Amino acid sequence: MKAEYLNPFLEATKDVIETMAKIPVRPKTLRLKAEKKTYGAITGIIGITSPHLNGSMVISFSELCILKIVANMTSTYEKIKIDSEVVDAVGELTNMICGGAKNRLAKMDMKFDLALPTVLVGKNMQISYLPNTPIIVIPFMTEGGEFVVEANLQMK
Amino acid sequence: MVDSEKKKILIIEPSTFFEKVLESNLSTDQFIIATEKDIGRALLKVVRWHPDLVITGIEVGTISGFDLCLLLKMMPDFAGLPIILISSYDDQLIHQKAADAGADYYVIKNNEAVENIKAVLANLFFPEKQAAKSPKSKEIESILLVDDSLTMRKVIRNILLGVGIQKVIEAKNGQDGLDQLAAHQVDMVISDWAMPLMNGVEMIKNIRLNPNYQNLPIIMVSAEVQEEIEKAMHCGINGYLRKPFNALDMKQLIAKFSTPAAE
Repeated sequence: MKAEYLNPFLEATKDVIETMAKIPVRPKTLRLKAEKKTYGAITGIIGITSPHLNGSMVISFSELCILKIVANMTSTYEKIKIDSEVVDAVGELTNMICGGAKNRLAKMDMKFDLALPTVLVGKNMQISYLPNTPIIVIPFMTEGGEFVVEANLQMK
Repeated sequence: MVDSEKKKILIIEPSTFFEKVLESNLSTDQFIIATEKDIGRALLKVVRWHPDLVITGIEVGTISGFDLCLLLKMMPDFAGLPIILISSYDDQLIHQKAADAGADYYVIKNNEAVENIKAVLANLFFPEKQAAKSPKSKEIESILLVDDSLTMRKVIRNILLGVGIQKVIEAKNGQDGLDQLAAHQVDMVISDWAMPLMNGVEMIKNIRLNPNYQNLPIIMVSAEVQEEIEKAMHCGINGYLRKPFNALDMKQLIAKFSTPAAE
């Protein structure tokens, strides 16, 4: 997985969260992940397929972080816990971030299709990653807390 | 047109070349143009000359165009003064900063910049002529918003109400959109693309089958790649916004289809 293919995800994440939630987003140092469980309290997963790339992108938020993001997006008070509206928002954010990355990668002649996002609620939920493929984690910090974007992508 | 009837436009643009391009294109018998290169002098000019419109670049020295915008919008005498921010950057963050600063319009410096600014001027100052040119155009007061995501419906509804739309009718998929359209009179449709039961493209094709809706403006909002959205334009979309977008992006797109009713 070339680093240049990760940058579009990083840029799209920053763009989507900062535009929709109006809060600054600061990327932190990339790391690799060994465990196959969700990082945060709520996680959006989207499958990626193309003739030259397949795998998935995962976006996982801590509870405080996503409640702050959703409150800012919808201009309402922060909810006290994750509910169906927060699940809906994570699906939409996952779609927008991956759509933004897809748009940027298309300009680099890397085209792929996106499946519909799936949203998992709960920490340490099992995720089915591609075997023998690194899981690259891009952590992001916001004033509401941390969230991560994970790339589990295999070049064909 | 006598001088007292002409609209006064103040241009604050660091690039002498672009300043001249704007000045030469906008200097007609309808406008009086003044130019400044320094924000401090520009502020003085605004206070003394009372322009009808300010066009400002962003990188104009130590005080940016954003700051000028914020300052003017905080001054009660000039809070209603329309401001066009112009910049080479076509970037969501800059769009957001422009919206946060209170700019009324954001125009990208490209080969369509002059035409886009002229369109803004026509809408602002000569709405009756615009209405005469396009008999179907009218003020957009009610919008049908079709999106399967409750979150996005809330986000877009807030933006629409914030930019002065009086009535927003919501639908959660294409079929629901068609049902709501049959039950309500609306001035515009804003629709998501990917939705269950019936997607946005199918819904729009259905809408366009009805002769009564041939001129109904329809905007698509989607996270799809630009190329795909442009391919879908043939189904009857009049404009589109890529997600993510902010209030200013939405306001500008709606303004393209809206002509305030002449008194």
